[in-house]
Amino acid sequence: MRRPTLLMLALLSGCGPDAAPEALPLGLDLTLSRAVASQVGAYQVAVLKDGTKRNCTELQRTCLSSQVSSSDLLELKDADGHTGRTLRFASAPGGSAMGLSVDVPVGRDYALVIEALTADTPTRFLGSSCNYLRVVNSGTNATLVAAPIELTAQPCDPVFPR
Amino acid sequence: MDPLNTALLAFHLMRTPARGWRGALCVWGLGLTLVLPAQARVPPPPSPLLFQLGPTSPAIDAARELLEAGRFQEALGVVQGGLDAPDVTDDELVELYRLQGLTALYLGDEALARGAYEKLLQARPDFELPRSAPPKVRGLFAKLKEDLRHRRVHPVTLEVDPIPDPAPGERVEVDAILRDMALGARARMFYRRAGAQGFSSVDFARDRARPEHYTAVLPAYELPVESTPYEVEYYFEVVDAAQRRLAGRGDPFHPLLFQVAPRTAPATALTEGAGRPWYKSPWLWVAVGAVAIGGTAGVVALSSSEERGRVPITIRVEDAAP
Repeated sequence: MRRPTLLMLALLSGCGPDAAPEALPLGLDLTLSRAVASQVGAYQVAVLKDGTKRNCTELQRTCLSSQVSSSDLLELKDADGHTGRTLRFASAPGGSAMGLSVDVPVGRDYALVIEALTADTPTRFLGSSCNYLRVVNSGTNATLVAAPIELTAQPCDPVFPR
Repeated sequence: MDPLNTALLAFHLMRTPARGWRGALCVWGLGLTLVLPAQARVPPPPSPLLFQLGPTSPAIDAARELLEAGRFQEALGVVQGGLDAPDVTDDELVELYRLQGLTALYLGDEALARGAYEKLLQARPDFELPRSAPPKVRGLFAKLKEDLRHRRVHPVTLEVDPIPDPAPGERVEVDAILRDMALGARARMFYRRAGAQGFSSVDFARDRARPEHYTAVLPAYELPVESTPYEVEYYFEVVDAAQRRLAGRGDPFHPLLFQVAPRTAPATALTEGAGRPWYKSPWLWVAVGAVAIGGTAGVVALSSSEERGRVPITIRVEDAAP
């Protein structure tokens, strides 16, 4: 092969978009360390009203249930049609990656909190990820980069009183 | 002048040749009048005022005569009888209270006199005693006027409940309690069909069996049976003799309201009986309950079907390697 042809091929192979890593154009992308993931039995998802008034750093320190009342939470719905102010999703076996989705009332200024819970009984709090959710539109929403869960096990009850 | 001196003067005049017997008799008469004890004389009758010149009740004439004769206790009884009589006009009431006040003062009952003059002044703020009235009466009267000027008398209070939706074609009786009703004051109920220009009115009449209780009757012909419902606006008002509002509930600009139901279907009337009002029909309340439950369910359904957006979350595990 002649030299100009090789050059052309090289140039062409370097053009175009980067290979997208697991293209997830919409939703929330949460990362947690494998050391934490191995202990996680379930994730508890909740969405708070008045997101900008919340201090996410503080909310991540301990159980959400000990910091806000259930009336501050929005009614959520999962893909199976289950509803509640908090929704629980069992973690993937071996702590591998998993996908989930929640249906949130359309609106603005929310805070989405994902709490990692232990598999044992009673359930214990392992850590949480608090994320501002500026807007939720109807349909499927855009991807958000979430804060990673840090292992901050606390002796609190993550269950909201009914 | 001392009566003895007067008699001596008369005797002296009799002896004077220049004076005649006629003049002497006149002086003797004057002296005799002054010598008589004051209790034997009757008080001078008050000069009649203009408003007293109208038709008067027999009690007023009798009380005046008794007062002039010095029979105060009897006069007081006659005045009280006149006040209790039915269909006493405002003018007659004014005169009866005037006589009661005067008689009570002669009897030394200042409290009764005060009450009578208070009512009198509420009805006739411009009332003045005749100049011939005794100083004691005039003094008390002046004090009462001062009290009224500073509003130290009790205001009129009106207690009346709003009218519930009446049955069409039936008269409506409205009971009210009026306390400290001023003499000459008038309590009325004003009403009109919603949308009409002017208000009509009916007077509240005093219930003689129960003090302070008054009743007004809205005639049945004002609430005719019609095929469609209609509303009636109304308000209550107490005004004094000068048409100043003393008390009330509602007013022409903010009237109360009741609705008159339309004519009910004949079949319903046959099944429900003639004596049962429409609002006591159990079917009505069943229907109202059904509407309420349906409405609540609708609201819940609406609120639960609010628009939602899906937020996908992907949790990926990351090695904890540095």
